Amino acid sequence: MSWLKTQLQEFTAAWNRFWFDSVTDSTLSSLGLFRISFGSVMFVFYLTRIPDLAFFYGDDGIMPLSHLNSLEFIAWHPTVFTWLTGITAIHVAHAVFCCALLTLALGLFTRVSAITVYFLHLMFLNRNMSVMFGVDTIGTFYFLYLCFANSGARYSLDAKWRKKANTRQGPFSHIAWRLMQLQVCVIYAYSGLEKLKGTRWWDGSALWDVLSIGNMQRWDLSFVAHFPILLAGAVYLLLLWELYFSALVWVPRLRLPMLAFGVFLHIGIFLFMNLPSFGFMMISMYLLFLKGEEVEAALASLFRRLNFERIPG
Amino acid sequence: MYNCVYAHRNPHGRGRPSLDEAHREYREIHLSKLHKRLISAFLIFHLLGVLTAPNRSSFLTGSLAPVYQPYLNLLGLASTWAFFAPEPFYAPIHIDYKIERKNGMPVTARFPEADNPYFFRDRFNRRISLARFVLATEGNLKGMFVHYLCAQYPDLQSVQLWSVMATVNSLQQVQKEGRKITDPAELQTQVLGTHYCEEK
Repeated sequence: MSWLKTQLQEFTAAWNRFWFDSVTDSTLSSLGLFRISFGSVMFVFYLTRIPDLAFFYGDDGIMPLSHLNSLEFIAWHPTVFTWLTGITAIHVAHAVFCCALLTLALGLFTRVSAITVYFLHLMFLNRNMSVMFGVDTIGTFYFLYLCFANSGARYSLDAKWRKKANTRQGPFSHIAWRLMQLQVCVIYAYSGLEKLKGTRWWDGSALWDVLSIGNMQRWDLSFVAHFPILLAGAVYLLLLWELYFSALVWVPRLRLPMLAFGVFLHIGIFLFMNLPSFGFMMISMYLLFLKGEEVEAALASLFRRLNFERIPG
Repeated sequence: MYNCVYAHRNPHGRGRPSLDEAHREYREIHLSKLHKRLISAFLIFHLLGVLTAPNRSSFLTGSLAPVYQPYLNLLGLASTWAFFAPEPFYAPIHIDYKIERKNGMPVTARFPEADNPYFFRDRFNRRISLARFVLATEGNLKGMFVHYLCAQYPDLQSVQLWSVMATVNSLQQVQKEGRKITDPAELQTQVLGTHYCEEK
């Protein structure tokens, strides 16, 4: 019984340490850099949606309201675009969304921008779920958590221009940052576990299958058929990395190698499978695992090279 | 609600290595016990939802659905994370269509196009997702795709539809038979019928 009590006490202490007692202002540097990179990637990503607004979201488009309302999905997925149906209104809403993404990336009215982005993002997703893919669904989590995080405290126009800007890490911002870190772990853990169900991941031939997907090919990689051992090795390495990322990224000595492998992996996915937005979005999330001191040192070094006297914002 | 003071070490540190060990300037936040408990209860609720939702077929997720479905759906957090899993390959699938018009030549086309025609790849990715969704049910095919074509071509008389799926060459076929990974091994065509526009 006393063993159980000790375990419970240790767990409570660890829980409190993780969520409440490890608040540090240096985290704001990681959050600031994450906001810039994530916001920029998403800004470019959603700009590319502009030519398709009428096709995706207009009532004469691919998802008419009559059909949307007949789908089970609509339960608990409200959207303002069920009554704001004019194509002009959709264009205006999307313009506001893109502007808010830009101001979020720049750190101008950061909190208001984050809330605007999250709300409109959900409205567009709920209007037509058939055109969403990984970047949209992962983005939802981070837009939500950014509403609570003090991500505009550093490297932002808010910090530069507004005298009353909050430059301290508060409890809710800290919790939001922790939730963002955990979400990366959840994504990789599930992704790895789901792969274990597949026979092709077990027998090591999965990478060949992925490279074979016709509409994702960038180059003719037929030559890799002569190096099956490399393909199988890469599959098992990827599986191990995905499965253990969520545990090993918290081990100080393994944190940077785990993140470095992820960067390498996502650049590979970008190069060979033509998925740029997904790769850059995931890489930007790794910034949440960097210590504030590391971010500050890296930026200071970068700006010294660029002959800036100090880091703007 | 809370006061902040600086502490120069982790007050609960037990000498275990953690990501936070290098952060020497922790700021202890004095939340009352009640506040900590309330926030913790909410975090447990939230995390349980976020952790179980991706495993949609599990008994646990099913049992918790009455509580979590509204919460996660409203916030947009009911997502699955199965990238290229459980099986990595999904065959590129297209919809071929032939439109017969009252005034004018028939129109024959493919959706989405065989090769990405867009500068930004993401536009093509959305269309790939869309084609899969459309082909998932007969209702989607009629309510979305046929409806869209009817709106685009007011003089549409009928539209014939086919789904076209490309299978790929195996590693052995490329290795031994000199085929290319980029060539489809076979195009499997399935007739989806002839459809007409609803009368307005």
